[in-house]
Amino acid sequence: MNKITGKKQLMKVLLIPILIIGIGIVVSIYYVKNPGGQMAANIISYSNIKRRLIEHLELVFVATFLAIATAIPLGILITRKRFKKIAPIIITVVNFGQTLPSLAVIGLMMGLLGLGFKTAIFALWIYSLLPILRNTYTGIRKVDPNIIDTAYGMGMKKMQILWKVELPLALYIIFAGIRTATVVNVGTAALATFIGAGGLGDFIVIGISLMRNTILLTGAILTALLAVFLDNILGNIENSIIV
Amino acid sequence: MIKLENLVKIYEGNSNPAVDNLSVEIPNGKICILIGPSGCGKTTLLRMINGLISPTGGKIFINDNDITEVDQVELRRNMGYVIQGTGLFPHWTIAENISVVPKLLKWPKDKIENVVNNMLILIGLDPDEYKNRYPKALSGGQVQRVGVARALAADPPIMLMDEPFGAADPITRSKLQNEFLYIQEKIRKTIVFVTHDIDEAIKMGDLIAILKDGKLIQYGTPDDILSHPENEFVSEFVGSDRTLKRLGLIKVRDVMTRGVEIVKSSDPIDKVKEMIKRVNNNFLYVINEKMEPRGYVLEEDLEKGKNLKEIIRTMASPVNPEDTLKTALSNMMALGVGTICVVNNKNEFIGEVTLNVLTRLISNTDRE
Amino acid sequence: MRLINFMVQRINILLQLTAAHAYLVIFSMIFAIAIAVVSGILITLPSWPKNILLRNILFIISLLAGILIAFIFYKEQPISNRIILFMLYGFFIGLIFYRKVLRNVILYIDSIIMTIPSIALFGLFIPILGIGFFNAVVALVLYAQLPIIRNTYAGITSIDPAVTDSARGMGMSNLQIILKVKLPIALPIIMAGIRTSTVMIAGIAAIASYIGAKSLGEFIFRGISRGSQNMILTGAIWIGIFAIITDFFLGRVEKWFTPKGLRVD
Repeated sequence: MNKITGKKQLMKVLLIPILIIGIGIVVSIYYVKNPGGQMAANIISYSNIKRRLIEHLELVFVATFLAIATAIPLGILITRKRFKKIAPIIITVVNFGQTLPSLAVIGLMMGLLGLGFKTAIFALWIYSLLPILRNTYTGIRKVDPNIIDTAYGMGMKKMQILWKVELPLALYIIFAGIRTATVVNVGTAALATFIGAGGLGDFIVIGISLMRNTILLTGAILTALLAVFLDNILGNIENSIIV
Repeated sequence: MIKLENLVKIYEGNSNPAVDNLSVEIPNGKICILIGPSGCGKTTLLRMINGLISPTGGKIFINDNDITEVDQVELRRNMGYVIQGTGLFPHWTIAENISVVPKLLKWPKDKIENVVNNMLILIGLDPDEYKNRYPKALSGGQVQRVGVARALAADPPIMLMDEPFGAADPITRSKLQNEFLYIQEKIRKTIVFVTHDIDEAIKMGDLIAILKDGKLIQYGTPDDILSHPENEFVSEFVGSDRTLKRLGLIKVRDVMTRGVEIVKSSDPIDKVKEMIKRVNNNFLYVINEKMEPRGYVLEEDLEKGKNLKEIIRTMASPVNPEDTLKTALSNMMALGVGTICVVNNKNEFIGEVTLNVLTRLISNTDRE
Repeated sequence: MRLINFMVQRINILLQLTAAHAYLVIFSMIFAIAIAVVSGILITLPSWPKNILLRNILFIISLLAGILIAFIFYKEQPISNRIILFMLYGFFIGLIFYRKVLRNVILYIDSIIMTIPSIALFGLFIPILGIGFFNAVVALVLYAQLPIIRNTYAGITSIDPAVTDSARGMGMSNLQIILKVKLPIALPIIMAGIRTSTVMIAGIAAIASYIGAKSLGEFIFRGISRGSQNMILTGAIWIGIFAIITDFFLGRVEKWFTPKGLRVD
């Protein structure tokens, strides 16, 4: 993969994220200046946009962080010999869970845990755990057994093999899982507004119910930009991982 | 007849021509080998004959028809095309693969079925067993055979083959070559055959065209090329062992000495002594009543025994007139003798080949 | 128990919504598959015509055609919008002649669309398409593109060149090569893409009920506004079941579509 070296390449890599941020700022300013009516003006304000954006980011990052912290160890665990038998079962369940639509997961959690920020975090965490878990598992399983044998042959201990051989070689795939999870979380977090957890989805929902396109578009454009932004940045990091 | 006239091909964005002002005539019913180092333009040439690539300049005639004036699809259906790895369609059975071109030509069903069966028999696969198999269930050699059968199915007058046996291992390859030569004996197609293996070229070719950087360096029979290499490049290309290779090309029939004096195993010693003196040689071949060679006697042994049976020596195993000199030489070497007798298919003695003849042949090649 | 009771009582509405949901998914997928497979094939073909000058002329002609379309069909739109429209139309029609550029543009745009959250995409279309079935279909068709196009492209380009080469060498026409050789061999991979897309669409279609397209999501949204746990759970479970059944069913179809000679067993 291409390692990021030199200022030129750094600029190239940063160009699109900066562009996206720029568009986001321009769109925000435009809609704050032209809210299209007094009612919309009350909702589209800098402070409100900032608050919703932070809520959204909070939802995404807390959930993704939790997912990473749980899914990677779990993924490593089920690649160990002791769990060889139950690993396929877990992976089947994971695959099964991934076919569930995000709205169903949000709905289920809402039905079981009630409304609120914590429910949203929980739903996002559960949902984004799946791609990371699966990629950790397949990433480690894909490591050439000959390489591991060689590592054993050179006198490495199990833990050393995990840290120095298996994880570095699986990193690329694991990170791809993290990227997927993050981007999916941005989308699911937009639905968190239905659980009353705020986020940029609020604008969309309010916009639709008040039939105000300006509010709706503020939310929709910013959410879309956020997803593309995070996907791009994480994609660049992913590409800089040398396998 | 395939005629290439001042053919030129220059690929876009490439200043060196892939094929450079090349003219060749390939007579009907012959195998013409295109050979040269990689990048010499041999595959380009083949693809131009097939119309897959259009030439930058020059003309290609097939039986005096300019191929640019014929419908391309029609043209290709009249040529069998076999390439390395064969490109069998993995989603079709062997029967379906073989019947591709007949189906494109809209032959009636029963005729197609007939052709499939005949083709499978021709390449030595049992139709009932193999017809409904898929390519992945065949061995490498079988896949190559089916590739040839598919190209032959519509009985095209011309076959184009691009390293058709290139993917096979040496033993399978030599087997496929023999089979193909056997098939060609029967079908007598005009074949253009691309390879990079000089041994394959010498074995398979009626004519060999040696190419380098898109230019024709030499065009002639294998014997021509081995005995009279045009220049340094050709002699290097055919290899320093070209004389040995030539031995593999010349038949015993062409160099054997007929009418050699022989003795019968029942002849008395004295008669043999007399004969040996007369022929001015130090040995004589011995045959039995049925004219089958049994061995030979040396002059120096004649004093040692009372009759021939006691002093007869084992000879090198005889060769047929249709065998090559290479076989003859290797049989001689096996026993360390300087001569070998030639027998016909009834195992009757008809002549001999001596090492002297071979050495003369070899030195001839080198002088020229 | 109460939940099951609840479901049984509303089985009629549930079945109606399931039918509506399936209709929305199938309707969108038919368009999505047609568009995606065709464009997937298109981007594997070499640029045409080979003559660069001729290609440029055709490109300019299609730009002009784009202007014509924008001026004839969108008279109610302001002129500035029409100019943007004609640029887009003309550009994409013209790209048909530049397959490599087309491939990069299509795959890049599709990958961006995939990252946009569904509710945001629905929202983005509301000012143009309003709310309802049509809006949902457009967004769903867009979403379904990437997996199918990507798989069609990958499936066709991964075919051993010896296979297509010998097909051409034996005198198959370009159309025959595509229909008889390329598509059948790529079919399992294309089907896998269609399966991924459909399962994804089955989920997103639930969200579409928020913008007025009838689907199973209705139970969840109504449940939220009425504060009914049972309704939300019923909706969530039913959507989940729908997605899983779709996945299972298409898995079967996928196997069935794989030509015998390509099956691994």
